Amino acid sequence: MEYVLTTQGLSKRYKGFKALDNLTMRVPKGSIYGFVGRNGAGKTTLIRLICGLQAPTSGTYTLYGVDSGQKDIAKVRRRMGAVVETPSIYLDLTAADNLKEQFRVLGVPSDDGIPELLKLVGLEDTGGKKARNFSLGMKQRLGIAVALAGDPDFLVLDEPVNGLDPQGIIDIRELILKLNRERRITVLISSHILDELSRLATHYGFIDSGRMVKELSARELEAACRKCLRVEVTDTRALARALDGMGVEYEILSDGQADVFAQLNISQLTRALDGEGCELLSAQERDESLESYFVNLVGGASHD
Amino acid sequence: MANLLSAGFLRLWRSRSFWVCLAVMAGVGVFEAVAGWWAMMDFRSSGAADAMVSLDSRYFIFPFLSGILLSPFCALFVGAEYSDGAIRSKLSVGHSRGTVYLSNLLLCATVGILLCSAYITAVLAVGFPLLGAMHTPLPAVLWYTFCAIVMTSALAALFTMIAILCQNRAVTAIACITLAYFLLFLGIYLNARLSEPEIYPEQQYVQDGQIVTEAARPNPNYVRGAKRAVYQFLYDLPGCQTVQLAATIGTETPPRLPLYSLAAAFLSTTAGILLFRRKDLK
Repeated sequence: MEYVLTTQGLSKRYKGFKALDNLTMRVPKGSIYGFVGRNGAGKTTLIRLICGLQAPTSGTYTLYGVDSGQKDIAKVRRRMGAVVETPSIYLDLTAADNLKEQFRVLGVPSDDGIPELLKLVGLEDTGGKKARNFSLGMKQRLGIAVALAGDPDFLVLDEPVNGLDPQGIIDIRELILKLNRERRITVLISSHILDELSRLATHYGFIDSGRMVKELSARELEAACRKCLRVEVTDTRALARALDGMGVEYEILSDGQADVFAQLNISQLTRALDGEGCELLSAQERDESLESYFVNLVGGASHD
Repeated sequence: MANLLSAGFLRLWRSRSFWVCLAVMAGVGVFEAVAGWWAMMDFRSSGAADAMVSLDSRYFIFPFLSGILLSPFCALFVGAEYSDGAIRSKLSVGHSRGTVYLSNLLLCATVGILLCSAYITAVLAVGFPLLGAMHTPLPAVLWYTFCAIVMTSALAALFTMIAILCQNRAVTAIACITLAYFLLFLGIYLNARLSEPEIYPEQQYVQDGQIVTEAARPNPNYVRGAKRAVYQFLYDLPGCQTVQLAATIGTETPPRLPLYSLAAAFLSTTAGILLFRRKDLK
């Protein structure tokens, strides 16, 4: 598999604080990589490092196969667009003027692409309105347009839907999917809004306390988030005996609750429980969400 | 670098604060010329000589103003790179920190030169018809103007260094304005201290009908030795130089002044780039 970004043992230490700790990750080409972690887990630090805003304390990363220590890394960065934390836009300029600025920064000879970019992000009708007067969602979309000005192959978005209203979130989601599908842009999105990420990502990296806890594809995650039947009974010991008798995998959650990882015949289960002198109070089919997977993975405890 | 300068000049053209600063400089130039003419009219009506008001004294004011106006401008213009986050997009698309720094420096220095030019143009355009030609010889005026422009560029280098190294726009603005005023008042203080006579000359005065002669005596406030060398060095620095330039009008402006300005610009830029390269940006 071809990777756009790889990191090897990447660490970043600030005064008395380790923001990244030996982080290793790989972002496959063409993917939407969901970089998941709590606030302060190190997501933004990683993005700052790969954007050249900060230097790693140790370890390296490669962008399109070029090592961060090589001089060519600056050239390779031209293939990348990024929105780090807040959109990089001049608030006293209009949307079109902001794009003109970025076109000049990039040395794009003609401004012809500006209307198309504005249309792509849905800001074609903003006219002479200054970016200062834009809504948060509009600023975010303008930030993405600025990041797209150099026609990048790799887009890095740091918490792109933070603080947006539902419509703003949908707009950004559709834009990211469009960019990935139509322009084949690889996207790295950092977020802690897991529900939103689950609608986009093709790959995931879970980070906690500066370390990569788990990296997997959406397909692998789907397999990991197993379907189960959550049953409520009067006696879980009796339930366990009944399920053992049926040869079914299960997990006891409390005195009255358990998850059963199999397609069960409810009548058969009821009869088996009857035989053990136990009653089935309720049964509910459940899918483990990305959220619960994440909570189980990082679990509130540190990974020292 | 050319791309960054092109983008920077485009932003400068659209910058309201730039046009306001330019208008203030031109406005003060016009005001000085007109104020000089009013003063001349007053002198004429009171029978005093016209020569008491000349274009010269109105012309030589601009280094005081350019430094003071340039300080908030540099802080706000360069500070916007951080507050609006634009510096991140410049670096993340592969521009080196050195070129980002130098492009900002060149923009600020250009603004400094344009501010001086705005004043000079305005004061001469209005002053010539109202006050007549300058009395100072043209080469001296040109040399003074050159020294003042080099000094303004050196101040731009100092303000750029502060603005690039400090990521907080408000702190940058306070630091730059404080530095501009501090250097100006330091220059005034040093001028006063260095102008002290080494010896008070012999004095004669009448007291109780008697002529009293006081012999020449050393001035206890005269700055001597290493202290004088330090004071002189500080007095030669950009900012403080403003006072020295004004004090040497009509005489010879020391040729070392632009050299000191260039040295200050070079050192601050070198230090600024080295520190900026090592800086963690947010």
